[in-house]
Amino acid sequence: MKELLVTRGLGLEIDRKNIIRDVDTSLAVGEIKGVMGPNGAGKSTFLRLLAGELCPTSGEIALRGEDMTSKPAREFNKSGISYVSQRPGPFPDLTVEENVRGAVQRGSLFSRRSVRSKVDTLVDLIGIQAKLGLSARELSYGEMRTLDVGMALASEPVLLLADEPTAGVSGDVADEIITLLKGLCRSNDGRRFGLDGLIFVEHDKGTVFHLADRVGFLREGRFVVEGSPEEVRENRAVVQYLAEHGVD
Amino acid sequence: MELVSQILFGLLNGVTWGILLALISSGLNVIFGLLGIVNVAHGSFYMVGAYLAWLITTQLGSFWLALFLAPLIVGMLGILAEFILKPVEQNHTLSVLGTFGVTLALQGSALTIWGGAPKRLSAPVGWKFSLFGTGYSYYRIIAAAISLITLICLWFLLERTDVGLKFRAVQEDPELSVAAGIRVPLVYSLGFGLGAALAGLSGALVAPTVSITPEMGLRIFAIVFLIVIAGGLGRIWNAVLFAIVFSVVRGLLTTFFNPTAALIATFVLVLVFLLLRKNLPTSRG
Amino acid sequence: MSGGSKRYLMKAVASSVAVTSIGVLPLFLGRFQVVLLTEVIIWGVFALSFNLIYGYTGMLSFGQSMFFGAGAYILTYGIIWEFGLPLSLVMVALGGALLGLIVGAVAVRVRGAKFFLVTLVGAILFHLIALDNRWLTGGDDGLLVPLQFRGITENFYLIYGFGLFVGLVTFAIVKSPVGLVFRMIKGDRERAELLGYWTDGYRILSFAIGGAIAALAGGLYGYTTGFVSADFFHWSYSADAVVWTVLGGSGTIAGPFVGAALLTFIREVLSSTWGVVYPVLVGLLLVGLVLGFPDGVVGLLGRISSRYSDKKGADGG
Repeated sequence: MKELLVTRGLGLEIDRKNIIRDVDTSLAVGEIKGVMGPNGAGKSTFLRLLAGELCPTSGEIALRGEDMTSKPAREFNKSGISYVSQRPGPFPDLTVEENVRGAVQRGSLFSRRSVRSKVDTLVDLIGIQAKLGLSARELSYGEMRTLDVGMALASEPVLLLADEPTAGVSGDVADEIITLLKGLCRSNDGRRFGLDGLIFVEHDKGTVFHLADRVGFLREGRFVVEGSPEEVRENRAVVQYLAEHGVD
Repeated sequence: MELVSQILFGLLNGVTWGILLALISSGLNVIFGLLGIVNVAHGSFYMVGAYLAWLITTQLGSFWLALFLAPLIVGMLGILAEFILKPVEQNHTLSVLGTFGVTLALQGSALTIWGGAPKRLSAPVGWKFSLFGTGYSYYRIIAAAISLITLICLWFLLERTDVGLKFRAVQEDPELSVAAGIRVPLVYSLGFGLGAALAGLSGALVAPTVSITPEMGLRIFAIVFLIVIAGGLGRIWNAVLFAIVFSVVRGLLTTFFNPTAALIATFVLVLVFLLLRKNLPTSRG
Repeated sequence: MSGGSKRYLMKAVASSVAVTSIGVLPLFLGRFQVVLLTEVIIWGVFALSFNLIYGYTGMLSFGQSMFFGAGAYILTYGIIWEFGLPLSLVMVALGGALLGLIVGAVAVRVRGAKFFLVTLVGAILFHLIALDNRWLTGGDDGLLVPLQFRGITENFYLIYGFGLFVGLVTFAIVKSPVGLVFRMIKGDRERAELLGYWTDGYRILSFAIGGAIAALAGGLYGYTTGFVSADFFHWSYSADAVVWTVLGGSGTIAGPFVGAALLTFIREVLSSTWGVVYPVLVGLLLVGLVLGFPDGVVGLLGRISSRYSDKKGADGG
């Protein structure tokens, strides 16, 4: 299987504390990977390393064979990695339309027509037409998260990283976001904004086992187990963790 | 021989003035370095301290009384300013603007009350000792000594009692501090007051050696802000070292260039140092 | 018509009326007031340059006096060397932009409060350098700009046209895709970086444009007064730009002009008797604005008018 993303010995040390230790993992083309684990295990940090927001202190990251490790965050985006962070990211003082346009226009700063059509497609995709003129701070939490996903897709990424995209969002909207993400990965048949891979962090075990092809269980900065949802569900550490936190 | 004595003179002047500069920076180090509040008005507190020293000495006749009263008054002024600006003190941009407003108000008040003409205060200790043919005032040595003693007390307060711990705690994790029973607003008030009082004390100490003008605050602010950042936030002895290096360099350059050019060159050197040094240390300890 | 475009139209009409009425004002004013109005426009343009950097790109810079002074001297030497006004102004703009590129490239290397410090030190340095190089700047005593006598009204319309031009250009910039990136950087620089933008590049660009505009303001001020000195580099000019912008409303085109006009008006009302308290007043005003009205006058008016129109819309529907 062709690999989209590979990490080798990835580590992050802050103030002599190892937040992420020696992580070797990979993501195949077309694969959806769910990351779970207890609080403070380093899930968000792991994603931020992959997004280029943090710079690892050891190891390397490669996207489609290209070394990304020492590149600045913007190069991650240009190479096709997009990131939905844990906190809502739309610019609060800009309108919804400006938020989307700002995310879209980077590749074609002065071609108004192509920006226009891409904005329209994205707005249709995430279904936020009615709110275009509002400033982002006026949106509900769920709408902000949806807008986040839309903005992350704007650069037509190959790999999307999503940090708890549905946490704190009401059930209906959460389902919509999950369906959207799943659709983007599953039907990559010439559709615009199709994805080659998705890595997401999620607290809700139901979502993880339902959405992911492979699941990684992260504890104290390293993957204790990685495998198919069935394998991971059987693992002792995971069983214990699920028992402590209520099984779905 | 002429040059050697000039250089030695520059060195001595640099060290004494550097220790005073370190005292001025120590106040900003408490406010900005430990509490994390950007305080542009620090230089104005220093300016007010100098004017108070002049006023008290000329009105009540005792410089040593002024040295005692000026920090108290300026400290209270600081607590008042912090109280007013409390709502915005965590926002860097707004607190720069707000404390800049305080700067303009204080500077304007000084100008209104005392006018723009420089005030001079004669040294409370008149004697000079002869140094390479020129007289060197004992007062500068005494002022440096008082500064040094104050700095040692401050170091003791911040490093050997739990006061310093509390200062660090409220900035690093306000919520946890509340949970730990620290009265956060009070810590901010007292910390800001302490910083302002240090500025007032240094202003009073410096008063007999400089010309006192409303404008003396902002330029000194730029210098001490540079020193605090270059030395690493919250690190008192690093700032002392940088203050001495700054004024020694300036003093030595003054022996070769005119004072303005020397100041320009010193500024440029510090700026280059600051910009070239990547990953400025922000960890404390 | 949708609420958004209605508001847009209202804004356009209001701006046109305001701009036109300022244009006919000199017909009803005395000579002194026309001179004052001319200065207000120059100060508005100068504050606008700061607003582009602060109000639109989110960088609290204290360095505008560097560009102001540099612009004034470039224009002076342009006139002295007989390049003529148009060519001199082009040189002023280019010089300001170049200086903006250099200062910006240095300043964006540091963040937060340090950024403010670096620009403040820059402003102090430029003032010191100008004082120290009398052969070039004339120091405190300054230089005369060798000008032929012009009518006060003639000069007003020159500055007025120029202010209008700069205002429109700035409007076009902030509404352009580049302006959108500026505003994104103001909102959250790291987020803009994650969306693939080289934010430092855009920040330097904002500095260069702001530098050009501030230099033009400095040049025009020197041209109007016929005199420049090292004090044109004094940091208090930066401070004025900050106060005018915050008072008028940062992040708006009209704000800097409104702020400059209001404070000039207040200063004139206080006149020479109460003039000494003016700086105190400005300082307290700034504290009050920061605490209560961070959007300034224009922001306040905008909020009031939108609340009013929303109410009307709700009543109608």
